[in-house]
Amino acid sequence: MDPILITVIGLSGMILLIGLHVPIGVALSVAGFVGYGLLEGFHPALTILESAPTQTLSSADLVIIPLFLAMGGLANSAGLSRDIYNLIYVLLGHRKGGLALATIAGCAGFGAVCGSSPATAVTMGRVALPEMLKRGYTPSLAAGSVAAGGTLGMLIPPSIVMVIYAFIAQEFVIDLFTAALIPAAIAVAFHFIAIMITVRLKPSVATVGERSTWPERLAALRQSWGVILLMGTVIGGLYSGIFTVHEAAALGLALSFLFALLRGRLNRQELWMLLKETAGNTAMIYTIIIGASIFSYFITATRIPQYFVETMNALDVAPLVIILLLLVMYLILGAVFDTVSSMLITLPFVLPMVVSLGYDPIWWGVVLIMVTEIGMITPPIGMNVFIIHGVAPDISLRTIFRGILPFFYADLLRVLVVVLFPALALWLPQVLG
Amino acid sequence: MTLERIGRIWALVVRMFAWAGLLSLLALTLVTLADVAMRNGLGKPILGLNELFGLFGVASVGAFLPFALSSRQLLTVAFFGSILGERAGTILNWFADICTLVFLLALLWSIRGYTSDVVTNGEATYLLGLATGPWWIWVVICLVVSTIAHILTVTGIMTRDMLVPPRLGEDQS
Repeated sequence: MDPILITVIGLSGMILLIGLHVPIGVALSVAGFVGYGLLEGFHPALTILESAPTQTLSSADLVIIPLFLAMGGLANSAGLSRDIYNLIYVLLGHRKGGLALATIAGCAGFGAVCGSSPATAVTMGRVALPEMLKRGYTPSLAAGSVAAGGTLGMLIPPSIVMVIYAFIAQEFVIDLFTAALIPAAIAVAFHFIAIMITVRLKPSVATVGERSTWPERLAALRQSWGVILLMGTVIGGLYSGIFTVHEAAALGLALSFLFALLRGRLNRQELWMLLKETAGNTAMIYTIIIGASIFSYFITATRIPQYFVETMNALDVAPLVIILLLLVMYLILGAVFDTVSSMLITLPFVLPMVVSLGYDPIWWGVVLIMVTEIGMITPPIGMNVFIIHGVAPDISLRTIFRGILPFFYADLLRVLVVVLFPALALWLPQVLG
Repeated sequence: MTLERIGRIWALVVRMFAWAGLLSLLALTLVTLADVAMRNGLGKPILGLNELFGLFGVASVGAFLPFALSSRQLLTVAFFGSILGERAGTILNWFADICTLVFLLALLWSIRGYTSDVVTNGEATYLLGLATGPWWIWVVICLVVSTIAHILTVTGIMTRDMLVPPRLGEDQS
């Protein structure tokens, strides 16, 4: 059978299975196995069915995922998200829209000890949303800032999605963490600007809080020593080279556990929630990675990536145009699939193409994560929007999507800036070696 | 013994496996802390720590699988179901569950074969010389538990779906 026809069958089969409610990891596995079997024979396909799951399960690199998931869960149980929010609030709360600014900065801070976008959104949603609504912020700005701020959890290192990208693209995860630092800072700055423009154009959407006194600020700083220590250990240890990524994850988990224990928050209910989230999310992510590995074997065997690369090289189109087209594709995919799925389904095709265009895979990892995270707040799926709707059912989806608009534009602009200036992502890894 | 009772007992088994997975992660954390302390304090790191990460990872993730399957936490996109109505959605869910069962059986079959090879060849880690066979036997056990958990969950759901008739007017669109 013609390889192109088999590729089309494999891809359509995978999309059809996903549409028919089959779990994404299972759909990828089935399509990959059948496609590879049709191409190379079913006996070699059975070998892949053995090697892909065993390699994924025994990967020392991927163990960071459950460690970071557990760390985020424990940090939440320990109340660290509230601490960081309060600290930033006493610093920024007196400004117009200060609570929304504190929410964005709080999301960034919690993202540094959590690594997951939905977890950041739900945690900060519970902390920041009631506070903003109580102080007279409009539901659209309040919900929009939490939903959009939640996406920072994926971009601020350490990020679980980056661990997965590094595993599939065979890059060093620490390089990816380092490369994401400046784009993450730009993301926070652009979200701040979006809030400031919004409150300037419509002053009624936010209120001004009272300026905190210095003793109040010092008290908030003292209260948040735990989260500062955790961030310092994980991020400081990683970038200073004192700890490896594994060590930083393990230390982060140990510290979060200690904080939760010492603050008396480790009751039966919290432990059960921790187990539920860590076990469920770990198994879900691993199943998708196993499926993506099997699917990657199939796509590689079709030689379609090489065909794409050759076609692309033959076209007289500037590489930037192709990158922009890919970004549009990811915006659409991100609105339907979750970040991990849209990344893993397309990576076998897209990564060789991007590399052949002369771009760095580390830079592409950062751009890819940024563009797919926009999908977390884009209709019709927009996972973070539904999470916030779950936290505050009184706020309609329409209101949340309306509140997200300024952040959506800010995110698009930020992606464009990093695409046009790759040095923003690549400079720091070069400097830090 | 009714199916419901078996399901409840199995749910307890599944939870015990998940707790074992979490304990395995905490054990890995302790070993890593010991390594950091020994390296910085005594200048003697634990050689082959990376191998432990691989082995404990296998143990943890394997132990988490039954829980994720019994609580239906694998990621799905309920696209057609939302368009075609409740009854079609229910049938699609059954189809997806059967596909997941086939996937699980295939995974169990392949990893059982791999484990058999690992045990027969007496494979061990390079630096620590730890036998890898027992860790993979654990994964096979976890997959057996996962498969049974999935079958019980799906049977329970199918029985419930068949007993509850669709509400009037729901499938007319």
